[in-house]
Amino acid sequence: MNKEAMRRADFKTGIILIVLSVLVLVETSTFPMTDSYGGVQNVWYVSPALFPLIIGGVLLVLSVVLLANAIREGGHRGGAGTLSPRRLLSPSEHTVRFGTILLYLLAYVYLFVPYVDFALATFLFLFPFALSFYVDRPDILKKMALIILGLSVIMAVLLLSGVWPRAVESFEYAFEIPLAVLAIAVPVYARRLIGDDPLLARRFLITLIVAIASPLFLFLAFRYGLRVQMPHEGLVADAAEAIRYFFRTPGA
Amino acid sequence: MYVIDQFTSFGLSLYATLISPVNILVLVGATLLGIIFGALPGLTATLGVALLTTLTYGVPTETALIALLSMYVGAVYGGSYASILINIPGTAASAATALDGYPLALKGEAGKALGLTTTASFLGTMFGMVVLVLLSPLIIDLALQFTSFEFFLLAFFGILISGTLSSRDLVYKGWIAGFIGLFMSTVGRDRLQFFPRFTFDISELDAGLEVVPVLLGAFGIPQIIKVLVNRQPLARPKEFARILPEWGTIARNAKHIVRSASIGVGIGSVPGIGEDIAGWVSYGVARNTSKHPETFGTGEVAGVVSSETANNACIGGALIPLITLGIPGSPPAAMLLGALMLHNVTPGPMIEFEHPGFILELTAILLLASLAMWGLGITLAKQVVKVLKLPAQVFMPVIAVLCVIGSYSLGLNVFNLYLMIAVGIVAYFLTEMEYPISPLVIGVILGPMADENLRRALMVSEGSFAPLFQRPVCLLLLVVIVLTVMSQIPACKRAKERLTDRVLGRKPRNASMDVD
Amino acid sequence: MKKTLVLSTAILMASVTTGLAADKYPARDITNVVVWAAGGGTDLCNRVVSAEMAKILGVNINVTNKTGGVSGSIGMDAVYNEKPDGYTIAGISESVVTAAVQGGWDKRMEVWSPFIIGGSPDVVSVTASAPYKDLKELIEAAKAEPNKIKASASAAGSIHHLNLLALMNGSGAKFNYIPYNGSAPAQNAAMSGEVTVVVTSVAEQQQLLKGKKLRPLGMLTPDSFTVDGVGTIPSSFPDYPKLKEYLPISQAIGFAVRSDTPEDVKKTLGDAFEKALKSDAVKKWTTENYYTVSGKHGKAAQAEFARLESLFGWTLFELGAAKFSPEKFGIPKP
Repeated sequence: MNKEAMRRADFKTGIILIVLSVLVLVETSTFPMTDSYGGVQNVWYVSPALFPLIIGGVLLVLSVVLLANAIREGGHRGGAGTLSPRRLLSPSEHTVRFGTILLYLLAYVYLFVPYVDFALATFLFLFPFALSFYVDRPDILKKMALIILGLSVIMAVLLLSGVWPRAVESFEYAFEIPLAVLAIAVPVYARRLIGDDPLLARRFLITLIVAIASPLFLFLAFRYGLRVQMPHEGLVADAAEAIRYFFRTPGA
Repeated sequence: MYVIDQFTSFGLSLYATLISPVNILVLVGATLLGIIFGALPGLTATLGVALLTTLTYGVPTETALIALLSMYVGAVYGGSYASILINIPGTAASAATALDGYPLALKGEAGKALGLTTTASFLGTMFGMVVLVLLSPLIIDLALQFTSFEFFLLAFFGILISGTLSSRDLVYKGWIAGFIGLFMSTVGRDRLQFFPRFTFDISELDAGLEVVPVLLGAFGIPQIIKVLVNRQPLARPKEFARILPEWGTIARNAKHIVRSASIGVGIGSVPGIGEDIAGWVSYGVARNTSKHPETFGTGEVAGVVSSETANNACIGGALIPLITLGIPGSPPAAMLLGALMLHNVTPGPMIEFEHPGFILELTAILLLASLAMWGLGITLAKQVVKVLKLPAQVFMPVIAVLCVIGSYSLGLNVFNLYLMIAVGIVAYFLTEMEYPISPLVIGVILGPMADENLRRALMVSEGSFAPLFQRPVCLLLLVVIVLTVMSQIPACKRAKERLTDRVLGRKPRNASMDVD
Repeated sequence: MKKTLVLSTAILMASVTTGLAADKYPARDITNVVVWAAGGGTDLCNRVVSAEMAKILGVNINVTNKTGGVSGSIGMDAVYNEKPDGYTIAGISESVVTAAVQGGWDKRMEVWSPFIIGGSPDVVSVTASAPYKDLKELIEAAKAEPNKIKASASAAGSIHHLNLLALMNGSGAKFNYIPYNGSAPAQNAAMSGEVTVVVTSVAEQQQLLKGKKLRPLGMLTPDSFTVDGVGTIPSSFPDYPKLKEYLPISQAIGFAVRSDTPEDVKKTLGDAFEKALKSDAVKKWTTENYYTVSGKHGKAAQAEFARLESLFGWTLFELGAAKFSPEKFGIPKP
């Protein structure tokens, strides 16, 4: 970031931080100041508000200094242009790439991991994510991101409407089976997009191997090596259990 | 006499451990696992020891101890790999290593940096071990001098150190990051009165924000985003034949090693804080006492050596209160305490009566573990550097998965994942605006300690600040704090220079030249 | 190709689920989700007992830790949301009973059927250099100067805090309560002389008592207690008979299944639980660590948790530290 852009950013951050620290101070003012709580005698220095008040106060001063400095160096000028319609319609490459990464991370953590079998969820995240950036072709980046975006929207709707939990109640794999199909379809589709460029074909293969091997390895190592339960255990985890019990009869 | 006795029985313990091939296998295996755990971002020493505790329940006590201590030593050391190679600290303990380790790697010196940290970690562990055997009664007397006032000053000192890790842009951006971290640390039940602060009725926030997800989010996510957005390749290592211990460089840094090892043992022996803070404090002190502090952050060898020596020396330090009082000196040591109790060993003042030779056995294991760590480190480092040849675009998404599983595994709490990503995105914007991220993490770690102990100290003294100036350890800490603050103020620096000039009889420099 | 794959997977899954359900309990590994962190008292007790029960039941019992929330609410909620089939059990302690009044979740303890392993009794101790030789001297000194003598007892609202409150109520003495974040720092403060009195369990203090770093004055249980190398610690009840009205408040570490779990599963678990408590490994561990074994399960254990729930809930409410009134959940007064 150049100095000018930095001051513009400082100007905005300064305002956000001032709002934040004022909110901290307002919320802190509702804490018990001198009345007893939890059977502990209270005087001003015992109050749970003491530390947040100091922090909020200092943060407020620091952010005012930040803002003042930004204004002195001209940071308040030209700051409003960032959200012009023209820039929204044709965002810079930097913005597109950043947005894509954000999409993958958010979809993975907020939607896939909590509700889908860990290995399956990780593949659905890892493969299109790594491929988009490794193959590094704008069309593939865009198409993969659209698939994940669509999937996220559908998942979010199903989860929020309560359809997902009810369906899973009656059949555990109601959504995991379609997702498993998707997990097969995405690489097939991506391979078609790539065509016959040998370098990209090689990159596709490497990504595919890593995207299959690392979730499987992590799942096996954590689940069976270190006995850590996965956030959600579904299709793959149950299959692994089935294989394990096939070789070992419990209760004997 | 005492020393000779200690050494003889020490030799016997060492021998007893070494004659069993199973023990040696466990030793090497657990150390290796520890290094892997430390090296993978997301998997920490605490998690490693916790998971091994479960796995070693059924095995004999000695074997379990070997496994756990080797894991501990290996993981604290292994953290430096990820810090140096990809600028994502593998553990909180090695976060300070990244500040100079990664710039070294960017210069192609990854191999050299790893060689140095290996030897520094080894020397640190050994130093901690020697103190554990010879000085633990003394250290314990000192640790018992720590009441709430001392704990507060120590936390305050740590926070102060983080403030000196300033931004390249504006000095106070470091302070802003630090105060954001301190604010984050106040979320959750206040530890004195159990009053819920900033929880907004979200029950997941009740217990406060955990350090591991915050750490992974703050360091891991911004790095992943940066590398992918800007098409940054991983740091390219120079071709080199093998990783040398670099005894010459080590000898030149002897001063840093001794000082850092002492800081590490000292911080480790204070109950409640451990490796994570030891690395930072040691790094900060090295920087503040350096004649050329401006080279820190650009690949300064002394910085890497200081933080890595201190975090490993911390192990020996953390074991002192654990064994002699039953109070763990660091988070992994707390796990170790649980593991020992599972094996019917209750550490405390009576341990030598109930389990004669226990401390020496522990020391022997520590020695062997650090030897195994050194040997493995020197052999592995070269192979590990090859990781950098992997395509960053595939490697970074896998790191993201590791951060996710690491945040989740300790506590099996999905909320920690949400927290990690949220912190990560904020941290990305902050780093883009050149805010240093370390003060934020230190704020989260030390905030509760400062908060709780200041208020409790005042509660005990009934509102009086007098004990600050009456208690010897308090006074000592106050002096250190004042000196640190003074070294940061340009006017004081100049005054000091003038004073030394005058004492040495040199002609005072022209005052106008000092104005910058 | 795709269709066959999907079909075969579905068939495999269906056969697995039905196959497992048909077998008698336990047909697969059991997961014990401890709601407190690894290495703590609840975790250790559960690991020791689970290991023995695993031998008896012939399956593995994996002990995991799912921490966080209000009074272990995240772990409890996770177990509660699993099927009540006895394959997921919750490792709990008496402290979880405050989850409802503290706003952690909306259920009472009656949703659980606990298996209580036991706990370690609480003891009143003082700094080794303190002038008080027995409990009477301490109480008299505290009565002479109310709120002057400082006492630590783990965090506010913890079981040790409740024991300290009971001691104050039963004896009429007033101490200046200084809270610490856990028993270890509370004991450390008593050793360093920051506070004079500490109330925690014998298990937590044993090494410090034996090492003469702390001096025990009296047990907060009706019976006296013998610690090797320290001698017999007398009960505080004979000197202060009013203590009976408030005490004992003992730890109840154990595990629980949902109360709507089938009776035969509960019986299988109960039998294994009883056998495990009689095993040498558990006996050795509990005596060496100064735990008193309870062994209650079924109705008796549910009654015990109901008592603790009302005791903790109302005490916290009266202290002004509870978020909701226990009445909101229909918790009766003790």
